Amino acid sequence: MRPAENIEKLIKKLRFKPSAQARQRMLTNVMQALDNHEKQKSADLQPNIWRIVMKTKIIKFTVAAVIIIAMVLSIILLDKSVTPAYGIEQTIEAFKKVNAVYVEQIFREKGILLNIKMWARRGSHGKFFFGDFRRESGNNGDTTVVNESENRTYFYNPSAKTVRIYERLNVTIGNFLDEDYFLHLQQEMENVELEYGKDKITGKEVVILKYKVPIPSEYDKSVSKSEVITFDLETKLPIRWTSWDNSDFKGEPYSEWTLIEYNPKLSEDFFKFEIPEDANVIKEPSK
Amino acid sequence: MLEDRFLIWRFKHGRTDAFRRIYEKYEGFLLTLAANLLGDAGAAEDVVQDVFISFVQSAENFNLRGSLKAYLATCVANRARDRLRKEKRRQTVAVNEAEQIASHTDGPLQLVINSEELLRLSNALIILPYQQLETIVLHLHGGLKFRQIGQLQNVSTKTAQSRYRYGLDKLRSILDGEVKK
Repeated sequence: MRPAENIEKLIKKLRFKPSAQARQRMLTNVMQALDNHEKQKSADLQPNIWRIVMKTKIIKFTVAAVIIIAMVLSIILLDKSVTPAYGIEQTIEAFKKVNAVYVEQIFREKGILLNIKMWARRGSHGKFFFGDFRRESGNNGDTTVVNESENRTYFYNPSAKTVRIYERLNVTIGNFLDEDYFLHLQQEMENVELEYGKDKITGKEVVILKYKVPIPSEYDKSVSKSEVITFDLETKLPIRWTSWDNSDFKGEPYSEWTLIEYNPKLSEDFFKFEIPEDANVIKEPSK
Repeated sequence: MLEDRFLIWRFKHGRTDAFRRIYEKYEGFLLTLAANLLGDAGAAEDVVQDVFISFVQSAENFNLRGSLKAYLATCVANRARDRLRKEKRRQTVAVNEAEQIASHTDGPLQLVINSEELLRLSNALIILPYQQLETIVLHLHGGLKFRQIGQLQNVSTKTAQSRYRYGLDKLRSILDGEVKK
């Protein structure tokens, strides 16, 4: 019978020696658990820090002030950031509700400055291009009326007291107000620049479209080579339209639409030309 | 002991190096304890790993009253007992259902046994009733007092002492019996 002390000594010698891989595995797992715990602790600590900070009155008021300033700033920035981005398709859509326009134009021709008023109504074919049209010159009273239903164009020269009548539609406000033009602009975006800002005259939020028209330089002077169209960001419709006969927006523009009003109230016979009694009527050949 | 309290304090204040020191200090001791209780290397590693992970997770609320060594040894003993209970349940189910369930013993226990005597002792320990084995291992390897072992086993100090004594006697008889053969 061996003494108990001997057995106790033997038992104490029973030691476990894990493999190096097992030790490494254990250490990795435990340290990973520690790392996860530290991360979780850090995440949980945030509200506690906030609670401690908020216990101090001065800090509380400071925090409140900072929050208010941040909110005001964010509102301002948000207001800026929510400025609607302009897209030409928006103008195309907006024009669908436009049936008539009134335009005031400054036209420069051979050094002479003409103040012109124009009215146009969407034609039966759905376009302003060769629809009803009236143009009056503020300088000499020259008046041009195009009546689609009569298929006639009247040129009245009060100085000469003559009315020239063409049995066709000779004059148009142009294609600028029609969908085709804006679709064309969409294709020309590489030549277009957009600037957002406030209109100096009306104070409205606007987008200014600058377009370098890719046409040969030998074209007539009266052909636009560069244009600036100012769109009202609210209505998406042009409020001014300026054209240069050079491609660099240089010098005085040859044409300025200084005022554009949409859907003015026009009587049914607004585009019916009344020949003055003292005018000499000259009927031009149809071709 | 003072060092342990200092390490725990540092660890509670975010010093992971302090935990590393605790781990390195007690890893080997706890593995030996678990291995002797479970008789299984893999199970011993799992238990010790779980004890350390649990220690990490509860460190903020941890208040050391006695020695850290005794505390960790108790944790190992509790987990080892839980594990054996579950294993026993599994084995019972397997027998009842006549199924083959792989033994939890993955391989030979890598005890540092450099003599035939120690090998026989190791085999004899496994035969002991678990409460006697636990008492012997916790007292001799864990350094726990019989009072602590009694609290752990929910018995009186005297009962713990008796289990220790009976366990040793049984071991002695097993070993002597083998020698006699």
